[in-house]
Amino acid sequence: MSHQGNDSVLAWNLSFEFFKGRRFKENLGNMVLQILINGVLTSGIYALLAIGFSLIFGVARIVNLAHTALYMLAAYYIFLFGHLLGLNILLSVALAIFLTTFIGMVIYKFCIDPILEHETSIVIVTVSVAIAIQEILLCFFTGDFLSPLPFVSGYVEFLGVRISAQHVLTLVVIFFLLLGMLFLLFRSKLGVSIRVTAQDREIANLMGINVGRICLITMGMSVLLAAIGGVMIAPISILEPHLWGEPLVIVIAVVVLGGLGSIKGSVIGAFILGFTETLVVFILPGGSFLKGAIALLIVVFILWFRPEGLFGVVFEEERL
Amino acid sequence: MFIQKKKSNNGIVCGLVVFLTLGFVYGIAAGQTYKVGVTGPMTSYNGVMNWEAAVIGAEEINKAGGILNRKVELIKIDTNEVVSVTDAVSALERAITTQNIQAVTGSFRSEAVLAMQDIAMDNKIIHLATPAAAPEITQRVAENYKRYKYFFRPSPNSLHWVDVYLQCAELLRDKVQKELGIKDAKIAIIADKLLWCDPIVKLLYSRAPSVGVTVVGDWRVSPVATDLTAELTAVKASGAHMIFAPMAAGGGLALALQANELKIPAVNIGLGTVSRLGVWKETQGRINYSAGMAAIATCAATPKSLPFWNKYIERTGDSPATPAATYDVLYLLKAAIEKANSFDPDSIVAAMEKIDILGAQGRLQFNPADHQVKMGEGWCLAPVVQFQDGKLITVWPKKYGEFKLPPWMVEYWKTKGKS
Repeated sequence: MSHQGNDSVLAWNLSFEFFKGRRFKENLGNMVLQILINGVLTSGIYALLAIGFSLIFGVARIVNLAHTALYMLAAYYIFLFGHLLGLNILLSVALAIFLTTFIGMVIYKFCIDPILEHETSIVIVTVSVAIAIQEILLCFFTGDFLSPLPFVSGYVEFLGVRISAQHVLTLVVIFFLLLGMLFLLFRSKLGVSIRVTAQDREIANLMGINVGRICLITMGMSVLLAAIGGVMIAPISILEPHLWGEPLVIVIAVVVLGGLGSIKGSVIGAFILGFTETLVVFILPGGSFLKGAIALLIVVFILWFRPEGLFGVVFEEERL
Repeated sequence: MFIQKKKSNNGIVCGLVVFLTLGFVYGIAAGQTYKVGVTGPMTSYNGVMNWEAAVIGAEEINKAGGILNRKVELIKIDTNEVVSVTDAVSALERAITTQNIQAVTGSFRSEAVLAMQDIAMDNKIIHLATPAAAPEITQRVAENYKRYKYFFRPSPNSLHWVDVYLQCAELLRDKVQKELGIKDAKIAIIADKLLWCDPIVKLLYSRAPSVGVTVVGDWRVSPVATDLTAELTAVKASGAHMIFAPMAAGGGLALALQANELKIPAVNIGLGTVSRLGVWKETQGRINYSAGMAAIATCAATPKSLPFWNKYIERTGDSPATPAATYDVLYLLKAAIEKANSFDPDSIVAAMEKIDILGAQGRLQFNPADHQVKMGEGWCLAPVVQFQDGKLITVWPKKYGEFKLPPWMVEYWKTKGKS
């Protein structure tokens, strides 16, 4: 099948060799495998970013639009320490995570905490913080595209599909991080306090839980997740100071799709969006640039039928 | 009674007035400059390159006496065009009204140039945009000459990139046949979803069969995409031997890095992002065997090419890429103004249409119909360069050097791949 070569938005490019004749089944199998593996990669990254965002919203009702800006800050720290200053990888990672978390906590203490009751103001303040971080990075690093060194180089071949070693490392870290989060939230006293505060702050207060302290700890955890995300994703991405904008839209979409405040929902939402994007790249390559838009359309479609999200609550009082 | 005559000071006063007037007039004449605005996103290498190359040109011209006894004065205009076309338009408007620029050059984002073009034309500013490549920009000159005649493009457009890509396809087709025994070479296209890439994708599909290669697929990615793992996985599955990647933003660098990381068994040819020497150091050599199209390279297109190349490296520490064509723009302006013997825009336009000079990019002459500089061998060259173990080698035109297939590509196709 020869391609007619048009640039219309929904160009169906079906001239891949693997759609032809006797190699169809083998090639279809390969494509399914590639979609699965790339889908898991993309979804894992979105899940890591979305969980932190969802956590702070669920507990403290903070829509932290500086979340991805902090993830970007961590990425730049890795570039600074690992690439420019040539520090040891582990030291660079530790410094990047520590500094980003510290800055996140300072932002919370001085910018968010004083206006905690004013949710709309928090949105504006956090956007302003994100833009400030962007401009500061622009001053120090310019707008050039930067690429930190990967922690591990090379690739791994899994059932004929190549995945960079850095991607594999990132997925392993995300997996253990998610396990750690689940353990913390469902098996520890702190986790119980966090979940109770998320369910009902007044009752939590009455039960003797220091709600302010729990919000602070949750914010720290949220920023820590963003920092780890930035550190792990930096080597598989290209850094530039406007990097925070696009993932923010995806993160919000994932969290809304999953249900605001639902960790489980965020993970599932991340997988839905991640796989949608991967499917678009493989099945509609001429429209690869639309992967984000199509993924968001899916979100809108699901919200039509379930406005509260997949695992959200219909009424505030029912929050689990 | 004596009447004392007052001594007349009229002569002294007159002399003083004449002296001061002459001094004032001389002062004004001596202070007049020819103001050229240089646009571009000045926080990134594209804009910086536009600026630095122009500075080198201006310094040389001023050292030689300027243009018709006027010094060239460059005005830096930060357009922020990567993020906002509106910002670019505002920046140019501000420069025109507050700085009184008489000519403008620079800018790589075609969408921004299209918008700025109208502002320049409204004010009869000579506009030589480079390296923005969309054919639509000069098509306006052809369709509405009276309005857009002040616009000239002194660097290649997308249509030239298609010719270059196809000539590279022929070279690589022969190479994969000779070294790998592959008779039907395949191309995959990964391109930004931007205006200047549209004709490249379309024409590659239609013209590739004429050079004996097949396009197996195209992936149009967002200009802000930074992870192309999925696209590269799909490209590998398509069996492509060459990846043509017209990408001007971060995607170009991401492609080169990730294609190397995943050892995708294909030669990738991008654009200016991977055609600077500095990229090798910045990525610590992780873009080996990646190729890109440059404005100027070490192949001596003209006697001006190498001296400019060396001067640029001495000044900035990096080699010039496509935005560095602003160096030639200053000399084009000088030649046109001196030919017209006037700073009047209409006179400059008439002279510029007849100009024929040697620049660092090659021989520069404009098509009178659309004011596009003539492109190709013998004209504005835009060579293709490839990183080969740390060295930036010119691989097209073929008389200057040869493509090198990545070792993993050779191994893959010899042991596993079958066409």
